[in-house]
Amino acid sequence: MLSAPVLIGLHLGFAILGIDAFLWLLGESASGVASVKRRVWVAAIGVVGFVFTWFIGGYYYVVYYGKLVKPTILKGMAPWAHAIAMEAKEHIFLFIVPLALTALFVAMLDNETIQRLGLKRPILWLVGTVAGLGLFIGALGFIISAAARWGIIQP
Amino acid sequence: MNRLRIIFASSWGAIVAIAFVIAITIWMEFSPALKAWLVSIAGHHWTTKSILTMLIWIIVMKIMYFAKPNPSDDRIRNSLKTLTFVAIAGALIIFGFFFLHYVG
Repeated sequence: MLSAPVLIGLHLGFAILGIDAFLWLLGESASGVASVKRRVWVAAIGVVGFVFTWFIGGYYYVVYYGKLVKPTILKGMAPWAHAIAMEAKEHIFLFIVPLALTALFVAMLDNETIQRLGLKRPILWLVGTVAGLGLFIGALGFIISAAARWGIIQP
Repeated sequence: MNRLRIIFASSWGAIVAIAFVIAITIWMEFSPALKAWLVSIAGHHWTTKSILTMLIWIIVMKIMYFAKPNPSDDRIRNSLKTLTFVAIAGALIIFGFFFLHYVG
């Protein structure tokens, strides 16, 4: 029981690391900075963040959420927070790691190749989508946490 | 490692993996037997979906890597565009499905 809040904290922390790294990568890609090494490092940090948040959040979800949090939300003022936000969050998250790994491979391209193939715009869209989906999933997580708190407070 | 080749292969692996997540997520909501089967594999339906998603990404990536050793510039560009489109559309489909499933 005591480890549950720690797991949530780590889940959130690594998610923020992943999202921030991909926002950073978006800036690097938009500005056309020549350092491939830096882009790869930033993308790798993002991938590591997302993989850790997946394992930690997944463990919390499988072990604690269904038994402790879900019943509280369903009895509270916002049962839709589980039915819509959590269901969407847990499944949309499964997109993130394959997307982020593809973005990591893209980060290995030098600027000359990116320009020759006309890849700058598709890369910006891809990296922006990873960061955007991460932020969207984060917002769903906030809704779920808020609904759980209100589920405890409300009779 | 041919970077363009692996980008093309990874894009298609991710496209198929995302399509799989959308399909199995919606299918499972209408099929208790499918949910029971997913639970029987790894103890929780979501754990099984997670494992299958990554397996599909790896398998499709390997297939595309060897099936298309020299993808054209157009194919590489289109694979990235398709991946982004499928990811955004997939997120909207899943969110919209659970929204309508709840209010409907």
